[in-house]
Amino acid sequence: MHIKFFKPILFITLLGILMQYSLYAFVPAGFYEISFIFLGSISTFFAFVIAFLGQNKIQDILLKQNIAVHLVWLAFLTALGTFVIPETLLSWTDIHRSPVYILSLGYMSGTMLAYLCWNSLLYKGLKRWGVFFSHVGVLVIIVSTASSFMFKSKGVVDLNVGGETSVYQVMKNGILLPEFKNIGAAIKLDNFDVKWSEPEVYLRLYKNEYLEKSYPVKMGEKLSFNLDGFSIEKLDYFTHLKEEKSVISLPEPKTSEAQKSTLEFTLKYASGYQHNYLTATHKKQGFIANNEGVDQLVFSTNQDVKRKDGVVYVSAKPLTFARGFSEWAPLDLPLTFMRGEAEIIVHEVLENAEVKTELVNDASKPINPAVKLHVKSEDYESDIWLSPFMKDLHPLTKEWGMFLWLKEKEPVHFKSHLQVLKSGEAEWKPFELEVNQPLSAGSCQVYQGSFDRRNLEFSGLQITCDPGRTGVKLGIWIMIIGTFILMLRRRLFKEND
Amino acid sequence: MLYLVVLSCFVFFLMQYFKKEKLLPSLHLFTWLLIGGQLVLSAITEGRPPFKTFYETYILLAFSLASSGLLAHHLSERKFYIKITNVLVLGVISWALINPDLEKIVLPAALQSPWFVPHVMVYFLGYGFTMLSGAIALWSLYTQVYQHKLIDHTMRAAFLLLMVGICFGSLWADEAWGAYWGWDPKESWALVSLLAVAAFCHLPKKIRYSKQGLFWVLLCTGMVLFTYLGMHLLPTAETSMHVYSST
Repeated sequence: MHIKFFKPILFITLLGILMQYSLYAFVPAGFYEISFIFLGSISTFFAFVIAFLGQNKIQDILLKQNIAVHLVWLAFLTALGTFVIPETLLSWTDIHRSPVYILSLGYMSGTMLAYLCWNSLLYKGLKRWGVFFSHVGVLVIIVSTASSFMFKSKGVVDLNVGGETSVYQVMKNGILLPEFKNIGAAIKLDNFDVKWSEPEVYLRLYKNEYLEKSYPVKMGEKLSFNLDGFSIEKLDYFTHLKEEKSVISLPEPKTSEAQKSTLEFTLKYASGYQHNYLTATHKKQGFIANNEGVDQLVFSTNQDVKRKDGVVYVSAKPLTFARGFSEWAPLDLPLTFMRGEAEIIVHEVLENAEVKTELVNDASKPINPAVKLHVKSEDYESDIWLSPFMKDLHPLTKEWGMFLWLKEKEPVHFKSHLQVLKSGEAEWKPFELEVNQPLSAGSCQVYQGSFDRRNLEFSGLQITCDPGRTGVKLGIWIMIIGTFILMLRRRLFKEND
Repeated sequence: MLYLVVLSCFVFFLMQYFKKEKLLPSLHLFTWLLIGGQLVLSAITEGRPPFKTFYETYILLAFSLASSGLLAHHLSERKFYIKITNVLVLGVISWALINPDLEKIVLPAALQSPWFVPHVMVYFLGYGFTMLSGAIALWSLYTQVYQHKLIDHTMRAAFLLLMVGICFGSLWADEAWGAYWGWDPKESWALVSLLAVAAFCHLPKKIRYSKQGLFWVLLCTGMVLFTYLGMHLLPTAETSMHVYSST
């Protein structure tokens, strides 16, 4: 093909593609859609016919330039598919299965076949074989892929521990169909193993909401650093907080109506501990000043107050202490609220009360980390508790904020212990199925897919029955061999073209 | 160790400036060994091949660039290749130093395969040769001193490596989940860049050795860079299994 055909052919090709896909976008699925795709395909195929009509000699058909044009066009179509959002205008799989794409592959295959038969004979020695094998490999892949496209079947099966199956449910385009096919073997799931990574905790420092630094927080390891005028030091760290008792000593009340109580109370929930510390904060000059301990209430009530086991009972209804009183603005006292039938009047709120607290790390509890940090700058010093259950960044300055991030455990390795009875065999044989190590059963392959993460009760297996697989693998290896022969033959970087 | 690499690259520049050309190959080899050592150290520290995060791939890319320069120099005995790759390595390592990994990443089960290392290494070596080609093309356009033959060789090497890399990836995908090709955006763009490089290699010599050929090389380099760095910006990237981790 002469170079002068390059531009008009490219123009017609692009026009055909544009016509096909732009009209497809606006036309409802059905007869018109198919018609426009057909017209678009015809126009692009016509472009190829022009290329052939322009030939004067056989060598012209096989000129590398012709192939280069079609390689570019294939590349363009492939790239187009990646810009299309699934389930909007087009699924990207539709583009790669469209008649235009398949016609192009067919034309490429035919051209390549003619090319390698004709042009490779022009070379001598190893280079001929390198060219030959490379292109034969591509052809074998294309033909085998077409076979896969037509005859491949795949599906899934969820197998419970102790369960057995010899069939799988067919899946097409990600949708499970009400159709079952034979795997080619009977499979029993004896057991299932999962190896998890350790959960990790990181202290993340954000600048203008972008993550700038991240420090691993570990039990028994020191953590202290300077950052932009701040020094931060880890004081305490819990991974699994256990409920503990706190003792608060109240001074004499200033108001005569108030009833003094020295309370020994139990924190019900570990997260409540962190919450109590947070609720004792208030904004001050644009910074957070964190007060140690909880709000201490001095209150009176119209009900009988009894103390039992650290919980204040009001007419036999327990009153959980100190929640709900923290506001960012100073409290408007006296504050009255109801707890059941009891009317509670808060007369004083004392900040910075002394709290003697004993906290214990209990690994038998679910992971629930909290870290206590000492933050110091030129004009600010405070102790701060952080936990991953805080939804927002804990601000340090206008630019900087902190967050305690819990990286949950992840499955790093999982495998199914199977018993397999293949067709024609008499005995069950054990097989350990894991990712990257599939089970071959007749013409099908069984792969380790997902698993039940919560209860570890079932293993998700993926089954693929693909008669074209062998051909594709063969084609790939032929292509690789041809490539290596070419590399050897061409003596890259030394030989003239 | 990466700071040593930066130092080594600067010493390379100094040697160039003072015209001590004989020392350049040894210095470049030293840089290559340092980066390789960093990769090995990362592998030992992390307990896995260091190819998962963007930061780790930057170091791998620097290693690939240094390898491509060394290989090209060794086969052609032309110092031009290592001079170009020294600049590229310095740029990539500097970028890696200001974008380090902040947290540990666990390797998922699907990546725990014997194919992981050969597939990624061959592919990144292909990236290295493609970027080397692009750098030579840019330099040629800037200086008007055309190095078409050098570009031709590096592009052919890139084509072969990218093709083998894709093949390895397909074989691995078939072993992992029974589908040797999934039209994943990353896979699609790997194919796009391979097709573009293949198209260049199939062009007649007249076009490859022209200014048009240089722009074609730059286009191929751009596609490879997009495959590596820009793919995650695509709207379809969320469906991809090939997005690198970052913290």
